[in-house]
Amino acid sequence: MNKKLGLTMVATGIVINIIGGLVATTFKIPIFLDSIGTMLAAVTLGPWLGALTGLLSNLFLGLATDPVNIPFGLVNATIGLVVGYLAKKRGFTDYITPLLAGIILAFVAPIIGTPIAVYLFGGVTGGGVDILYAILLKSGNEIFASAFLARIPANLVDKLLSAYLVMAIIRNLPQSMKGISKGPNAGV
Amino acid sequence: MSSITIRNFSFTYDEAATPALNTINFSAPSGQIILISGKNGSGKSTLLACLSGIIPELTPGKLEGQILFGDNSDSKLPKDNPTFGVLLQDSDVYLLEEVYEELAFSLQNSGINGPDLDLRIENVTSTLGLSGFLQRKLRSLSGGERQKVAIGSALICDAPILLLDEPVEQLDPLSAYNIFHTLRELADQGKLILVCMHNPLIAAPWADRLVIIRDGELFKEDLMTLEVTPIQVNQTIESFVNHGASIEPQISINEYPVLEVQNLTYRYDEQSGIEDINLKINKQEILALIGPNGSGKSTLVKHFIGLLRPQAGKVFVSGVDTENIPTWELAKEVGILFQNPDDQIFKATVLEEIAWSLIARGLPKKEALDKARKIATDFELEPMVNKHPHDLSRSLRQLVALVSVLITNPKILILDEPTKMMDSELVKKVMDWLLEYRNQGGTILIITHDMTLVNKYTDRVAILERGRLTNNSV
Amino acid sequence: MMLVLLSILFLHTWSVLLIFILLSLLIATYLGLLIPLLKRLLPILYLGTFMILLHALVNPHNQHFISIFGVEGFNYGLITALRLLAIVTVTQIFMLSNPLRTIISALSWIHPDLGIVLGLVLSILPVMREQMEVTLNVQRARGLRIGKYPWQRMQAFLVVMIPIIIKSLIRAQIMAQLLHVRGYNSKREKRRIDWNYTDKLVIACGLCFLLILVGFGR
Repeated sequence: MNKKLGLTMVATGIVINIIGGLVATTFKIPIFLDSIGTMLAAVTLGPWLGALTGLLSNLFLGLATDPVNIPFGLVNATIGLVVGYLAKKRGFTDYITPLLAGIILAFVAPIIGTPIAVYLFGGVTGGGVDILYAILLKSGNEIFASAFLARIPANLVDKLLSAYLVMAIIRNLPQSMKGISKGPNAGV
Repeated sequence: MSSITIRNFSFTYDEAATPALNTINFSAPSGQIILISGKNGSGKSTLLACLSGIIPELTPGKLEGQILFGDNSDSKLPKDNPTFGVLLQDSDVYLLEEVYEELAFSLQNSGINGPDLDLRIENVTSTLGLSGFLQRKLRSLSGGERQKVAIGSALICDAPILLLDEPVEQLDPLSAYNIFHTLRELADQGKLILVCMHNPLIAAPWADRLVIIRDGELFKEDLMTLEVTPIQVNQTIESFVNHGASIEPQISINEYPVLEVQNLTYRYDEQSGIEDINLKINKQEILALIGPNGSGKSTLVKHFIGLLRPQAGKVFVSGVDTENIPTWELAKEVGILFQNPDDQIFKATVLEEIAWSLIARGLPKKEALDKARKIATDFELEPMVNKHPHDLSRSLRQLVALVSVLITNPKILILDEPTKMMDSELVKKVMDWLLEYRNQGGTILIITHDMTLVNKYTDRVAILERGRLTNNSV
Repeated sequence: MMLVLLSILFLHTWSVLLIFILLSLLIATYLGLLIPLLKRLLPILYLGTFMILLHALVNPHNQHFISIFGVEGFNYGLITALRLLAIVTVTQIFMLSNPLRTIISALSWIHPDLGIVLGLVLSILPVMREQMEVTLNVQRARGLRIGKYPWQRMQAFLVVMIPIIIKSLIRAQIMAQLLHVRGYNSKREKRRIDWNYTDKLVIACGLCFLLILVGFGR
């Protein structure tokens, strides 16, 4: 994969992340949908550049709006790593790989994100997840465990949908862009 | 030095069946302007891409033959000073936010900075008429202004060879004249300039040679065979109106307004928007809405589909006030085709794309696909039905977008520059179909800059200038 | 600024945090940024209150209670909320006093490619935002309805996002070509940091501050 295309793809991935999140909010969809760009970058450029895309997305968002976003860049970066490795091993055009990605990330993303959320926010998000969180806490669970478990369902749906969307896009690229879908080692 | 020699050169895109360029032999010395002409898809841009190195570095494929530059017998270019100044076909894609940054970019890559940089930027901007634009954001410029910035980026490194792909596509005739004048001067100073144009008439008086690419093969042509007409610098709305519209006024078949606005006002800000518009369009009428860029044509028609709601005045569709009717409901009566098909295409095959307009309205998938197949055949799209829309030319994509509007059988059709991207044969087919549609009871409102189209096909003309109707000839 | 942030990590008690925040607010007023700062802090205030409430009610460590509110939870909530407020205050002051573009060009000292990528993002983002509006309008004119149910809204999401994504991918390819023909290479200047006097003074103050606060925190 040519370096220049790599640069523009990372930038594009960042923008897709941001716009995805924006459209989801505008349409009042209850999941994030803000890691589509990371996944696209990871599939086409490999795990490390995918992770970079994720990290920079949160950095950019944090600089442009609310800096609390920045530490969560670690979560986004992890998404890039996971999806990138899966894509490398199995390609991202079959129906199973996105499923794997979604399931793995449903656990891995909260693992990384929960410590940050707990330290900064006491585990509270101001969103629907808090209801689940409160219930778990009330039943006597520890803060970290409750926050972690509360985050799994939303992440599962979000990551599964995003992964399948990315798969659909890669599968249905026009002929002139097929080169991108072959992944980071094509044409080198 | 700046000369090019191409020997037995062929190029095939990855996974393509036939070569895009086939055994090209060509040579050009410095100090010339060479026009490369050919239909869309013939290979002109591919050739430029091979020369500039985009192929094969960014686009994989199989290369055969040789391209040689100047004294070097090696096709690898010296890296220090750029050998090429390149203008890509799509000048609405740019790298950086501000005009200054965009122009400075190439120079910075050669290690030029500081006052020298500023001086060169100043020179280029004044040559192109862009002085005072340096702090502006590229996003806020008009298409023509952006194209000038792109040309500036190509010129600024003072490279010996210039490769320009459709340099005046978005420019008005006067600006185009100035650009070619500048290019001529540069060529006379020793540069070699290759210009691709699918319609080379405007450039012909300035060029030294013409070559034509057809299906990937290069043919030399004589410049004199082109009908070189004097540059029409004054083809404007005014001249059209002043020469007396040569439209045959036709009495409408019905005096029944299907689209109507009364005292409609919508202002974005001080300068733009529409004010106090009164317009009626009757059944089975074909009305052309013309006017300079920015006069408010798109603003006006968006009211008919409910994308904009009046700040003052009323809008009526089929006699009904649109005030509380949501867009999707209006979409049942009014079909609107927008300028850029790429804003809406999202399916992977032409068939699915066309069918979606019906599926969105609740039609079961199988039925929608069947109808889509039928209408595709009507428009001779049958062979392309399973292709990806983005693999088709712009011209055909616009047709696909049009068909996806027509499939819903709207009683009223609004078309925003429907033929802008189409080849001329396609335009005739489409217009004939539209006439037939009118004869069967449809009404058409068409926004266009194409005066020949207006002359031949429309019944009435409404002229919009700076947000107001100035002439409503019947 | 980074040093100040680090120092916050060491602060444990709510009283110290409160003083810290007040200090920051004073600095903000000095810089003339108080009103915009307060506007940006408002959502955090809401969130903070919510945090305190939630933890006061259901924190599992709650042992002592005042009516239905647990003391431990309340404490925990309060400290976390104040800490959050402190962090956000400091960072927002930083953000408000430095426009985005300056921050981004400063970042190119880490790696020139980084500066380019962020520069590209700055130019692509507004284009795609506009695209979002245009595509939404166009698809609505074709009959798209954003329904009540989540799956309908998801469908609408796809219908709008996919053209945007395709356009951005195509744009990425063309921009790569532009990078090529404009000669992008590693000769570009790495922005060197000029350590002038003011910068050194600021860093020194930051270090002192950090040390003081560490002392407080013990």
